[in-house]
Amino acid sequence: MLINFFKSIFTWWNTQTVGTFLFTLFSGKLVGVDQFGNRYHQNKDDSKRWVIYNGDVDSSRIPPEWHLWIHKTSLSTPDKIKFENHDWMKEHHPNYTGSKLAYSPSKSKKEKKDSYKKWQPES
Amino acid sequence: MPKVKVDGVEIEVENGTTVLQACEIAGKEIPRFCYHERLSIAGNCRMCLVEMERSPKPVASCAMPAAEGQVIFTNTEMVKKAREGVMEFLLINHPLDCPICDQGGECDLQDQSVNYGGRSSRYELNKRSVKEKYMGPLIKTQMNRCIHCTRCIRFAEEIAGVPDLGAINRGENMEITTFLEKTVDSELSANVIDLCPVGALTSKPYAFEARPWELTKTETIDVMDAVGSNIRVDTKGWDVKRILPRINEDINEEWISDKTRYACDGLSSNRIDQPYIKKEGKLIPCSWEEAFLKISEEFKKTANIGGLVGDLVDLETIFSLKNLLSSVSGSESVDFRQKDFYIDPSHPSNYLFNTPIAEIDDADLFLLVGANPRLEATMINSRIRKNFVSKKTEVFSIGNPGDQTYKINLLGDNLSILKDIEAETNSFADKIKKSKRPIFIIGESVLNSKQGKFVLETSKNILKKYNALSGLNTLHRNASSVGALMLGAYNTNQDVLKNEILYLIGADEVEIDNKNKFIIYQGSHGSKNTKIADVVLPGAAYTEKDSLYVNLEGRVQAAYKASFPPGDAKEDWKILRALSDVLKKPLKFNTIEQLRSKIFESFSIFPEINQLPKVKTENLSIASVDTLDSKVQFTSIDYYQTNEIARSSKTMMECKTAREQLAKTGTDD
Ligand code: SF4
Ligand code: FES
Repeated sequence: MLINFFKSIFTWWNTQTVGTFLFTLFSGKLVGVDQFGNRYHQNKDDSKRWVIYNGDVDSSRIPPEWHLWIHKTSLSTPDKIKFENHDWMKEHHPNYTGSKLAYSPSKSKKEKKDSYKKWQPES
Repeated sequence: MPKVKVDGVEIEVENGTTVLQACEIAGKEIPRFCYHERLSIAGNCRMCLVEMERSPKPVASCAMPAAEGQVIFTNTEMVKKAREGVMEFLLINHPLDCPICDQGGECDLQDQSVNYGGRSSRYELNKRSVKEKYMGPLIKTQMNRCIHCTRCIRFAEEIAGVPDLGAINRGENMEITTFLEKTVDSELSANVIDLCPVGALTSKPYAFEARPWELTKTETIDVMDAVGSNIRVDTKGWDVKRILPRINEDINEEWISDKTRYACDGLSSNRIDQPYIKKEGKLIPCSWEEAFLKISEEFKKTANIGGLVGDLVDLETIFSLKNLLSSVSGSESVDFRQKDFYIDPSHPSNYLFNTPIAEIDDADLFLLVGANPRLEATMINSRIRKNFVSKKTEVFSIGNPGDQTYKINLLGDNLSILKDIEAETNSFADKIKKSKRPIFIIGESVLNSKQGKFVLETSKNILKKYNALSGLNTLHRNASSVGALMLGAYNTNQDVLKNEILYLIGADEVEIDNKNKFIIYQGSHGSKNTKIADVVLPGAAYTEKDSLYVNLEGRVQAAYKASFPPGDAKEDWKILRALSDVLKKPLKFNTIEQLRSKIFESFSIFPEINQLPKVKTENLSIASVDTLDSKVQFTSIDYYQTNEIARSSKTMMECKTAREQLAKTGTDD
């Protein structure tokens, strides 16, 4: 708890900064929480929309429905919109670039072959 | 000495300089395609046009001799327009296929059209197309791209001495060809690839391998022969992609032999990349520790240990081996000779090429004694030819070495002729009397236990008589020989092969009877001696280590690491250093710098790097010998297969086949 408190004072990449916390406290209105626990807010006249992440500050963690809302592509929150669900749709995940889960084509995963021919004692 | 004015700056130039050279002395760059310092002047590309006062038309500066009072302009509107015009004409029939051309990125035409060319082309007709020509396994042709500068023809005729290339037809239909669609029969043929200013002649083995800007360039030394040509090794990742010459006026000028250039693909095949140990008659992969323990066990059993170094071994390794064996067993039994080879190491002049290579140009008489410089030391041969062409110097030979690309006057093939010359009963004695700088070149073919002493001493006697002892030259074949001699790695009173334990470093030529012997083979490439070894240690090839080599003049040159030894292989001196720890007799150096300063301390004969040794021929002792009635027997040289790297190379094999094909006539089967 205490650690989280200090983190929010000294870093900007954990959940929220002190400024955001105060701003949310005074002029924010919670409009919804997505499946990952990110909380979405707007101010009174809806001129500002923001998100407080549940964990790392990384905009690719916002799922597509909330992406619509936060970029003001849709006026209403996702729970008021009817989305079509297809069986090919996958669970949203953040951008894995730079992490262990990063995608690489199968070629580069294979072990690199020697570029020389070995001498064989039997030959 | 004419005075000329270039762009308002007055300079004085030597007699016989051309306007182009004068401009260059004045610091002006003149674009050119056909002009080349080392070739004759052709004056057919017209790219070098400059404006000259009182001349109504622009003049081709490469062909115009500089004369007193000329006023030359290189940056006027007229010159600019002339260059643009020439460029536009040159590009009329040029395919502009730079993206798929191997020359792209290092192409004179590309660079100069960017710098001096005009706008777009106004030519709307079809470009001409020319059939590909066959020039052998090394030179790939794309004759559409040729701009007819004729550099290749002039090179083949003047430097290589094989009039195999030529131009047929005239005007727009001109084509460069080998006439009979045959391989260019020269050991220098691939230099035309560097000379060709466009991508018409490119390298076949390197075709589409890499772009010049992707390559890492390392300037180093060649070890394919004893000349020590200066080369640049281009690597992409681990692979050595190509080898190019580096200019060194004292050694190879700007050429290298085909073997130097193309044996590099041997570096990626047949590599020993891990230690092996023989168990139940079979070589089994093992770890370094196992191999070292086995060696130290064997070393405890006997003090009868001998070392034999091969033809590509560097100074550091020879020195380490010598020190290791003498500290372990007190044995001095280290040698570099893999065949019957007469040496007289009492004075360095007895085994050096005493004439500095650059001074071959000044010689006025040559005598080859059982030497075949064309195959044994190609770059030396091109110097002899240069001298022959420019000064009509006569070349005599005892023993017929075959075609040397210049005229050879055969004195006969009996070595007793030398005695006749000494007694002045041979007509050659008159020649040498008149000559100021005669050069004797003694080949390894006659340096055997039977003839060696006679040839060497008689030659010395003759040269001494005419006060020309500095013209005594031994033509070594192997890159390691002179270094080993200077390090004292020879054994005159005992045969190394008689030892119970043999430590071979890259010694792959010698025939060994491995009965009751323990053989250690350390090297980079597998060979017949690797198979009979009891322990095999993986070493590094010449492009994979920082090392010193001594060329046949005695010049010490540094080679640099261009890539890494493959797999578990290590640099050779490091292997010996590590082994000395296991044997509890650690060698007294840990770094290459310490090792080198040890070498230079213990052997004062070694000059500074890149310098010639200070050897005085005056106090050379000369013995008189009885006449010997014996014929010169040339030991056969398979030019493209002289060492293990070349033997592992596919390209060298192709060259060999191509040359054999060339020798065949229509009626042969
Ligand atoms: S092939 Fe190359 S070197 Fe030969 S004439 Fe053509 S452009 Fe010149
Ligand atoms: S360089 Fe002068 S004409 Fe070609």
